[in-house]
Amino acid sequence: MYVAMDVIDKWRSGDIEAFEVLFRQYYKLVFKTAYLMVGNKEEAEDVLQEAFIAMWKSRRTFDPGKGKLATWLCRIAVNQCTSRLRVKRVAVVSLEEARNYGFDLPDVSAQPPEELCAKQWEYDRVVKAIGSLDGKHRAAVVLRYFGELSYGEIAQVLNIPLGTVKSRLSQALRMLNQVIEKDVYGEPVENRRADVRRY
Amino acid sequence: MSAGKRDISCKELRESLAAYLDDELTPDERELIESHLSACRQCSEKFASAIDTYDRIKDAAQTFSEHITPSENIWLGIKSRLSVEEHATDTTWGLARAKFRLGKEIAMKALFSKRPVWKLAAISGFVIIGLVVGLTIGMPSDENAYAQAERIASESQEVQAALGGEVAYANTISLQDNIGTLVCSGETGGMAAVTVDIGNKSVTDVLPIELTVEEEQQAIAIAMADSRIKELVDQGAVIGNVSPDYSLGNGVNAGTRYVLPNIMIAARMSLELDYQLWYITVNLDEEKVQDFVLVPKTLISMAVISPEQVWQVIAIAKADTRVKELLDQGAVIVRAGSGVAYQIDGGNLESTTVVLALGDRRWNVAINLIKGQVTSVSEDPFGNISSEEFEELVSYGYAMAPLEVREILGIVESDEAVKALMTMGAEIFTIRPVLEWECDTVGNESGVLRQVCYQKDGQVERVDVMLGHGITWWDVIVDLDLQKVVEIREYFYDSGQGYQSGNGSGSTSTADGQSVDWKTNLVKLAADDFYINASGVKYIANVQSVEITSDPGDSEYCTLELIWHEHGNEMRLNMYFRSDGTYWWSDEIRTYNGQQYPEADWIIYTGEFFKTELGSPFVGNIDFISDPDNNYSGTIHFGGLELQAFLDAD
Repeated sequence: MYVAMDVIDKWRSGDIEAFEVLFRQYYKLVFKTAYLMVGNKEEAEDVLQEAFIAMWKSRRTFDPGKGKLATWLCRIAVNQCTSRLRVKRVAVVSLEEARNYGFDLPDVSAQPPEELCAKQWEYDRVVKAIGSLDGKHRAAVVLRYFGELSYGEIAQVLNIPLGTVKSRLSQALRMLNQVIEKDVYGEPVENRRADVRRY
Repeated sequence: MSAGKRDISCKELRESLAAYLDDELTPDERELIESHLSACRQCSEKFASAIDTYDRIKDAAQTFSEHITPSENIWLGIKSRLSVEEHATDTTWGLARAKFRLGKEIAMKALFSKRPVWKLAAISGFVIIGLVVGLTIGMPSDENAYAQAERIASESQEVQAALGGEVAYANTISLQDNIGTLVCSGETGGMAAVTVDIGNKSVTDVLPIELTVEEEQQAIAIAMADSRIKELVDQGAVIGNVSPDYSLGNGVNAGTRYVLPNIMIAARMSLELDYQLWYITVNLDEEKVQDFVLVPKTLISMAVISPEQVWQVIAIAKADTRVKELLDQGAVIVRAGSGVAYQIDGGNLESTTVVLALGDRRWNVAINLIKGQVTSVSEDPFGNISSEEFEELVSYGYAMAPLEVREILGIVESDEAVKALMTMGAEIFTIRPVLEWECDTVGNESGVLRQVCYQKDGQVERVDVMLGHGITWWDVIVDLDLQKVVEIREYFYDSGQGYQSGNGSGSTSTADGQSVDWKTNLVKLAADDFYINASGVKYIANVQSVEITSDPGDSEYCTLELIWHEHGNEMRLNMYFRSDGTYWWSDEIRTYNGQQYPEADWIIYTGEFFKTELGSPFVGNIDFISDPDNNYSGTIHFGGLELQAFLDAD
């Protein structure tokens, strides 16, 4: 994601138009991350707003030499999401229950009907499976596979060591594997786990 | 091939899967993985499965990108808020968020009070710390003169013009020979120093209190050069708008320049990180950060009073009819002990607060310790805000949701070790977030020393529920992620020496257990952390010889049985597995209870655990609580577990 240096300079000195350029550049990344973390559009939009407001407020302190704008923005968004998730205390045990906890079904209805069926079903299962992860694993998965951040950038955003990023993603893959594969027949699996995932 | 090349273990490979698929490994690391995969059937099967999941995720991400977008008018919403943020500046050491109107009003009144020995007010649990030291020059002999000066200034066109609007506050700094020196601030945030001639009922001087752009930038640079601030900014903290602040002369707080002979200006800004708020004052003259103060959150108890005093406080509160009524309705004491304790006259604690919570509402019970009675019970202003605002406060960490408090109490009260303490008579008296503190001692003109504590780390992941009994008290640490008690620390209070660590008659367990890797020809179990809690004692099997066996059973039944010695006791873990040809699961787990003869017996856990397709492992975190009909109770914890039974199944 390349943004001209002079846009960043202008933004830092208070130019709202330059800020809008940056917004257009990064809003999707922030929104995607937030959406997959909190699970619904309204809250994701809240997080999006708050993140950019915070970005504006701190424009004078942003140091391009210290790291990317994207990383810094993501961190704000992820922190906000984590706080919101904690408040909601959403407990997700199976895909079936995920449906009932305000984790919206993402709408892919713009597709041609034949393709839609299999693809939507697949997509639905993956996204719900992600919704069944606890906050820490979910954040790592969302940032890596949806936000396309590098491992180093994820380490910065989540403020964890690089090694932890690697093991957390591997664990998350295994957990997702478990959840997705088990629902091969579309059946909810009862009592699979005695624990409850909290954020 | 390099000499001495090592093999990686199955576990190491497991941990590197994602990195391998994402091409984040070095060529050497890749080679290690590939050679292990070619030699290890199980790992290569798992790997194939992981690739499948990985591909599905990538596909889903692609679909998601194409279809999920936010509403069109988001930018407009942001833009409109930018204009508001730009122009709103704090005019006092009140709260940055205009929403907390009540708090702000109170803060302003406290700041501009006519008895400014120290500008400190405990406001319904929300503590505003004003480090601007005000000294009146010339004792006020006639209140009316002050009021007059302020009225003249407020009504003056000249003053209003200078402030760009209505005068919000006028405060007389000094009054001599009917000439008053005031600081006035406007609704829109301007500030000016004003001289008023009371005799002529006129304003003689209006000098704006403002900072030049260079001064603003200099102030930020000075703030950023302070390591405490820099550290927070590196973590993502946001510096708010810089505005001028005034301080009074006599060399108490040097500022940058004199506006009037006894008023100087410093630069003030806020710092926010994840909704924690600090106030910073910068002395531009001396080029340093003068004040760096945290606005603490409501539930923080700084525990500056002893447990004995807390008992006294709770007893006094409970004896009051108003409090009894609230407790009868189901209110819970969420804090006993004030955020900041006042120490006056050589350290006698005069007053403190107990906070009650019921649903969305909060009450502050003010207690006078010297008189031994409740002086007031008032509902916290947060109780009068809308539920959306309350939710927002909760999400910001300024308040703990009542549900959360009840849940925490539920977790704590069902913990075995805590139950043991409570049977002994211990009572819960405080819940507070576990945060790291750094404390400074701050003095002011009256020689009163006060401790100001800065939070170092604002993520509330753990909560400390304090229990006490007599002079002994316990910190029961609850991990909000794990939803359980992870540590209990015991202390006793020695009035001569303060708080001392106890030896701990209760259990002292920590969250981290032991990583384990057990295998028989039928069952394999690996976990990142494991422990058994039996009768309040923790077993982690970190001993040399753990005897591991499996009852061969048949295609429908097998076991995993472990025996070892720890803490001088024999400990056993038996897991009983069943299969119906399609799935496998465990229907019972047993551990020893860690007691000696004749009390030695099993602790039994029944249910339907781990149910997974035959041929696949169960992966995840799992905690077990023993069945209620056991004589001794226990828990088992597996973090990062991978378990599979019936390994020989086709």
